[in-house]
Amino acid sequence: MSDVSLSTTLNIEEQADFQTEIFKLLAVLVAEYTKGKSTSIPESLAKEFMESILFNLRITDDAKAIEVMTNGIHESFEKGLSLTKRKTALARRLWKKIFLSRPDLFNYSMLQTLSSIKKFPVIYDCCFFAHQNPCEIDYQLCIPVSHELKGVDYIIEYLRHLFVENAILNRFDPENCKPVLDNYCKTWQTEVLNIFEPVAETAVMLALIGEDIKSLKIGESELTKIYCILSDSTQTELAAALNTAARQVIKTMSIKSQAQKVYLLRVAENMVPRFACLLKKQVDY
Amino acid sequence: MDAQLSTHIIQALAVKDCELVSQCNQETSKYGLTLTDKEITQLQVQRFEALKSSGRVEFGQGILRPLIMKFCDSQFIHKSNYAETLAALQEMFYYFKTESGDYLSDNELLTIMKSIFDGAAQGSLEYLNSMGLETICRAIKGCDVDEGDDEVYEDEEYGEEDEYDV
Repeated sequence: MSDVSLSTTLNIEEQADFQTEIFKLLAVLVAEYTKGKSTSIPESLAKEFMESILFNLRITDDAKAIEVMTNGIHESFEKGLSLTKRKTALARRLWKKIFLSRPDLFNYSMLQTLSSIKKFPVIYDCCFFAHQNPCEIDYQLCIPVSHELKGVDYIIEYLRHLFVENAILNRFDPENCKPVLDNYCKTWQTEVLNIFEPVAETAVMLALIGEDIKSLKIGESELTKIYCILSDSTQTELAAALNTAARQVIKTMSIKSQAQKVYLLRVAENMVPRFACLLKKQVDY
Repeated sequence: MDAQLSTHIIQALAVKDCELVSQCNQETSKYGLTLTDKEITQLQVQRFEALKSSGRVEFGQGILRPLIMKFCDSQFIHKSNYAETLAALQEMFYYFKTESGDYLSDNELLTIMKSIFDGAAQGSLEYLNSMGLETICRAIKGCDVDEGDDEVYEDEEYGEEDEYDV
């Protein structure tokens, strides 16, 4: 069985010291968890505790490991735990902000996910299982959160993405959004799908042909115009055109938030390969 | 970084309770039961083997001392089978602990084991091994409770936000 390993500029002695200190901390956690009523625990549980320790220590590289050793493992763990608790409180505030400002577009999976995240501050164990995410997250984001993020870090990032998506959605009249979503999927209210992406993409497409963005109205004539503009474009030209269109959306909608600007530009970026594929199919046809 | 557990470090951190076990001899000698140093060392080796085979880790003192104190007054343990019986009980203890989902505390599990060993098993380790788990599971089932977590956080933590319930 391998050890708690660093990939590493630490010498063997330093690594061994680091491992021993980590295991001593693990022993303390086990004693706390069992409240002295059990001398042993399943190895699988000990591994979870170990993951939780590493999460709270936030060791990303050797430099951080050395810093932790210098400051003391126990002190660093306490400090990390305190940060995790503050982040949990932030997640709660973020949740409330998102819930109160959710768009007037009913989507079951978004509400279910929000309902599950509501319980996060209560069911999240930041000491023994800090790396785990105890929530059921069904609602798919337009730009997903990295699965390398764990525990509260994942939840906060998820909520931030959702906040940005909903903030942009709220700039549009829900009555204009509904036909777009109906066209995308008749059962969008009950399906596990993202409701931001079709609206944002429609806005970008309308900006591309200089039509009214806020109307979100796109028909045969608009699609023909888009095809005419883009049909001879290379992938680079396509990316540039969509980027310019996204910037036009930002300008027209008077978006000042940097996070929302970046998000819209990424939406445009994500459209490039799909548009390239669609245009190619049209030509082949 | 990965979170694998290093067996040799865990063994180093686990308190080698040879001295503590040795101190038990003073108490158990009144029942005519004592362990030699060699037997104590052997029991420590068997402790780590039992932990490994039951998929468990132990950082502090082992279960051997509490096990001795619990079973030393059993009429079915004699000088001739003392160390051997302790080794078997120690192995069974970790096995039962895992198989019962860690539901019982060490003391509760030892108490059930002792009651079967002295009662229905009449000192038979084979009987304890085959019937013990079933009895333990029945005991756990008897004290199963619904913790009702959902109600706790709905009412206490978010009571003021219930109007926003989804």
